[in-house]
This record gives sequence, C-alpha cells and structure tokens, in this order.
Amino acid sequence: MREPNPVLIREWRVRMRGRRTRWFILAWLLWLSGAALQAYSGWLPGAGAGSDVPTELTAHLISRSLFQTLISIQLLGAVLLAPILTAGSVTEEVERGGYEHLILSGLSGSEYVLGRFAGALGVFVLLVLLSSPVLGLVFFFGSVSPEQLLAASLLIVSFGVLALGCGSLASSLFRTSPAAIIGAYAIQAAFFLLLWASRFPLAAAFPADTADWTPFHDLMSPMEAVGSGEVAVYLLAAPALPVWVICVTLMLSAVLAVSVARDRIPQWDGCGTARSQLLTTLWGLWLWVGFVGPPIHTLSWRLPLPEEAADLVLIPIGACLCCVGAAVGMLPPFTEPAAPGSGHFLTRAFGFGLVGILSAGAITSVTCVLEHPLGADWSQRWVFPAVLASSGLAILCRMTRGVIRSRGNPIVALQQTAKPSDRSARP
Amino acid sequence: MIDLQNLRKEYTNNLVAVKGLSLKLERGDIFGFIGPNGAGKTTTIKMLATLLRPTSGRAFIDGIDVTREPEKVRGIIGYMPDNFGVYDDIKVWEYLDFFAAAYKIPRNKRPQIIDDVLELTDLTGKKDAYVEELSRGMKQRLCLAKTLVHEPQVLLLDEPASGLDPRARIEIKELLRELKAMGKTIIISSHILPELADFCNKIGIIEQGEMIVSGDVGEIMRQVTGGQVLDLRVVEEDLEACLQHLERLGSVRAARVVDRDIKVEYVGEPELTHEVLSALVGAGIRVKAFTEERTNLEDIFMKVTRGVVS
Ligand SMILES: Nc1ncnc2c1ncn2[C@@H]1O[C@H](COP(=O)(O)OP(=O)(O)O)[C@@H](O)[C@H]1O
Ligand SMILES: [Mg+2]
Repeated sequence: MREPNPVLIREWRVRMRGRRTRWFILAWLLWLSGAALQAYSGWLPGAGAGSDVPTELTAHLISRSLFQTLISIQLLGAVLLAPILTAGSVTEEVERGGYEHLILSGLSGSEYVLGRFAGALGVFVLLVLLSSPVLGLVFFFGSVSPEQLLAASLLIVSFGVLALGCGSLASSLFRTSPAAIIGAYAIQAAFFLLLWASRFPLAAAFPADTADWTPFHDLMSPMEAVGSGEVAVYLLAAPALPVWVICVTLMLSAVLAVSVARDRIPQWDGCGTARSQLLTTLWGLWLWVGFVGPPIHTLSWRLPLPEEAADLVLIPIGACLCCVGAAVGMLPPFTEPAAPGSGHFLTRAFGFGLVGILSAGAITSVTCVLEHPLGADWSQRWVFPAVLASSGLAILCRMTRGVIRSRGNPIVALQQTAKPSDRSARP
Repeated sequence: MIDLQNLRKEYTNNLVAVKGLSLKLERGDIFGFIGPNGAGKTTTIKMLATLLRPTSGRAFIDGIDVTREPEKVRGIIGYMPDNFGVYDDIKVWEYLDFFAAAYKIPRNKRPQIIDDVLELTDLTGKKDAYVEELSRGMKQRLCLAKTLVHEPQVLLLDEPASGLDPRARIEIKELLRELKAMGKTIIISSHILPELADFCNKIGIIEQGEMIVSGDVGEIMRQVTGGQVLDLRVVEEDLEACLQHLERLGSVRAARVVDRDIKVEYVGEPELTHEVLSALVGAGIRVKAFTEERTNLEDIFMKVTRGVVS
C-alpha cells in the first residue's frame, strides 16, 4: 500500500491540533456572525430601513442583503487570508532550518508542495464548511435557493484554491515568509488585474437575478467609468458563463501555479527546470488566449483598423505574457543561505512585481486605446510602442537584477576587508 | 570513506569561501574541523552534504561523487546544520516520525527506530512532550536524533555544541562518543577547540578557506612543535645535572624548566621515548616522574592560527 504523504500528515497533526487554528476559526465565525447580525439589524423594526410590518418584500431584501454580506466576507477571506496559509510553505521551512533536512531525506518537491497545499486546503475547506450554518441563515428569509448558495460556496472555494496556489508560487519565489505573503498578494492582484482588464464576466458567476449587486459588480465598475458606458454594454452582452467554467478557470490557474512552485523547489543552485518554464509559458499563453484575446478581438471590428492589424496587436501582447511566464520559470531558486543585504530579494520582488503589473497595465491601456479610437494613426502610433516598451522593460528588469546582484553584498565585502590579509604569521 | 580533492567554492559575490581543500578520511575516523568563524567550515560541510555545488574540485563519500549522484550520498549521510530548527506544535515522536517517513522508512518499522534514537539521545522520557517545551540542549539532541533515523554511516555535524551550557555540552560529547563506538565516520566542526580535544583522532585546521594543517592529532603536534613534549620531574638536587645530560642526547632538541618540571622537546622516533628515561636513570639521575605530554589541541591551534584569529 502506498504510504500517505508525510508532509500532509504533519500538517494535519500540527494544524488541526494547533491552538492558533482553533482561535482563528473561532474569530472567523464570530466575525461572520457579527456581520450577519449587523446586516440584519438594519432591517429590524425601528431601524428606519424597512417598514415596521415585515412583508414578503422585506424578507426578500433581508435575505439578499444577508447573502451579499456573507458572500462578500467569505470572498474577502479567501482573497486575503488563504494566500497566508501557503505563502510560508517553503520559506517557513527555510526559516526554521528544516529545509535542508527535507532535501536530504529525498522528499520530492511535489510531495512537499502538494502536502503543504493539501493541508492548507483542508483548513480552508473546513473554514467554509464551518461557516455554512451562518450562511444557512439566508434560508429563513427565502428568496435565495440552495443551489445559489452552493454555487456561491463553490466559487469561494475556487477563489480560495487560486489564492492558495498564488501563495505556493510566491513561497518558491521569495526568500522570507513576509516577502512571500506580499508576493502572493501581488501575484493574485496581477491575476485579477488581468481578469479585470480582459473584462472576464466574473459577475456572470452569480445567478442572473443577483448579478447586479454581487461584490464583483463593484469590482467591475471602474472599468465602466473608463469605458464610458460602453463596457457595461459589453458586459451585458457577454455570454453568461456558468459557474463551473469560472471555478474550473480559477482552479486550473491554481494547479499551474502549484506545479510551477513544485518545479521550482530548489535542490541545487541552478535555474528553474525546463518543465516549469514551459508550464509558465503555457500558463501565460492560456490566460491570454482564454481571457484577454477574445474581448480585444471582439472589439477590433469597431476599430477603423483592418482585422489583421488588430491581430498584430494581439500577438506581441501574447508574446509579452509568455515572456513573463518564462521569466518566472527562469528565476533562480534560493539554495544558498540568505546572505544579509544581498539585495537579492528586493530585486526579485521588484522585477517580478513590475513585470506583472506592467503587462497587466499594458493590456488595460491597449484595450482602452482600442475602446477609444482617436483615429487609426493614433492607436497605431501608441499601441505598438507601448507593447514594445513593456517587453523591453521586462527584459530590463531581468538585467537590473543581475547588475544589482553582481555588485555584491556590502556586508560580506566589509568582512573581506576587515580580515587581515597578512598570513606571514602562519608557520 | 571521505575524499575531498581540491574542493573550491566561490559564492556569487566573488567571495572564495573554500580554496582548494583536499582531505582523506578512513571509515571510523572522527575528524575535528577547526577554524575561526567565517573560515569556510559550514561551506565545506554543506558541499559534502550535497547542499551546495562546489565551484570546482570533487568530493566523494564512500566512493560516490557528491555532485554526480547526490541522491545516493544523501542516503548514507546524516547532516546536522549549525542553525538547527525545530517546529512548534508538534510532539517529539511525531517530529521524528515525520523525518523517518520522509526518508521512506516503512510505517511498521518507524516506532522501533524512533524508540532507538530516543534511547540513544537520552530523550525517551520526552517522547510525548511538545518540541517547544524542550530545553535548548534537548532540542539539540533531538536534532541529532533526527539525523540518525535513517542510520547513516557518515555524520556531518556543524558546530553541534555551540550555544549550549557546560552540562548540555558534556551530554552531547557523551552522545558523540557512543556514535564513535558505533563505528560511524564523523566530521565535526567547531570554532572552540576543547570541544573536540578528547574524541577526535584526526583534525584539520581551516582558516580563510584554506586547510592549514590536517592529519593525525599526534602527527600534527609533531609538525607544529617539531616533536613531542616529555614531562620530567627529578629530585631538586639533580636538576642541573639532568639538564646537562639531556642536552647531550641527540633525540632532544631542547629542555627547559617550567615550575619545577622539565619540559623536553623530543625529536626522535616516537616509539623510543623510553630511551630518554633509561639514559637518565643510567646516569644516576633520580627521576620521580616521566610522562609524554598529552597532545594539546589548543596549543596547536594557537600556534597555527597565531596572529590571524585574534
Ligand atoms: N550564501 C553566501 N553567500 C555569500 N557568501 C557567503 C555565503 N555563505 C557564507 N558566505 C561567506 O563565506 C565565508 C565562509 O563562511 P562559512 O562557511 O559559513 O564559515 P564558518 O562556518 O567556518 O564560520 C564567510 O566569509 C561568509 O561570509
Ligand atoms: Mg559555520
């Protein structure tokens, strides 16, 4: 019989017994209940919101507002808390000094990353399951169907999985846990920025009658402002994606993030393996083809550009995204113990964050430019240079990283000069 | 058992931490790796432990190249880093069970192995305690216990006694003696000499990435002092005569009086020190005591690294 993953068993023992976990779950449930209570108290007679006599309409409104509040909080929890669960998976081990032992024990990168991931996922799912009684409150007021609640919960788990994946990836990219947590948020933000820029119909994840007030609606509204109303048209016209498509999308992204993290588990001071580079490249390509390409392509017919020209815009952006993916795969892992002040982490965080934000920004600006055709030559003049500049900057980031690193560690340099070079004293 | 050939490590910041180290150890050797902080001990040990790739040179453990077949080497070594780490919220036996499982030791064999290493490290009574409740010395021993779960032949111990109080140091030393008796090949590093003085049969002194001396403890003593030191005590009145007599012996380089003892620098055959005694006795000098001075590692260390360490 196959032995169970030792990392998962350890995670299970530590996390499930840990006092911290218990307090964390308690705090979470208290917060959730408090929020539900607050949302409900607004509708109580005398609160001024509803009429004194509860009607079917107020029950409907209460149920909606409860649902909205609870789902928003859970989503917020998934996005903000879940990355923390896995962001330490590699860095914590390094910080505690157990990392080298794990390498020596012959535990594979997959076993380790997947064990930590599964352990964290267990905690997250447990949290969602424990929240369900609170969520069940909405049924007292009707108007929200169990299927809707289930769909929303599934979506929350998917977001959690993505967040955990981002945490795992960040943990293999950064040197310290705090840096990895920030990095995980950055990766997640870049991902959402990408979705947002591509106007991926996240709102469609929610049942049609609730779509207008889902938390995502607020997420999308800045785009509406940018698109001066036209985006709303696009959004409404967008085919409503079934929840499962969105769940699969989020989870697939997480799987790719985790597999890249797994491949990047450093054993020697080398670079990411060819497999992880290929995977990240595919990831970039896939996101591109799936999310960014179609909306731009759909818009292209509105431009006074020939369709081939619009495709010419698409290809460099796609290539740029693939470069980002490959760059992530190529980042060297950190086997050597952190030399203080080496600037390694800073440049890496800088480089990676900049590349992610730049590419997302580039896509946003390109879509905006396409949205506001100020004349064919205007977009022709700006879109191509913008794309070129962002890929150039991505390359520059890699280079600066090298330059800053080669300039060396001021502390080590200090030690070197402090050591006496005179060794005539030696017999 | 262990063979280093011109091992060299340059860090990415162009710092050469280890400059062409060569060393040969036999099975069962206890090698004391001595050097001041920053000398390159950890770097060398990590290269042996397959955790750092050497810039050049080669290293073999039991005939296996550490860079070519790191997985094979990992199975026969036990490495204890200088910054040992243990987790919170986990019990002692669970901690060991985790590492045993990571080493792919079958589940039914693990309880026995865990009991054995706990017994060896004198932690049996703490089996169900939480790791965070252990004292520092116990944690250190637990860390050693975890490096033993897969019964390695070679132990690479990086400063295992640093930061411990005298009592805990003695406990670690006793544990090391037991491991020595089990026939393990051990490399143990330290920047403090007395720690290693008793149980090493070979030492190497490293300084700024270069092995200054290495080899048998007695041999190094001879290299450094040019011979062996004999301790003599004679009847007061015979002191002058004794000194004169010693100076005439070819195997004695010098003799001087320290307190009321005579320190004799002997440069003859190591096995023939008794001839000095018989010569003195034959000359009618009343010898009260005659001993070979124990090799004093500290002296060697101070002599070798003079002016560089302090
Ligand atoms: N990861 C690293 N990057 C750069 N320099 C390092 C690194 N690790 C150690 N060094 C340097 O290499 C030298 C040897 O260090 P080390 O092997 O840890 O010495 P020891 O263990 O003998 O105290 C020191 O000067 C140290 O500053
Ligand atoms: Mg050291």
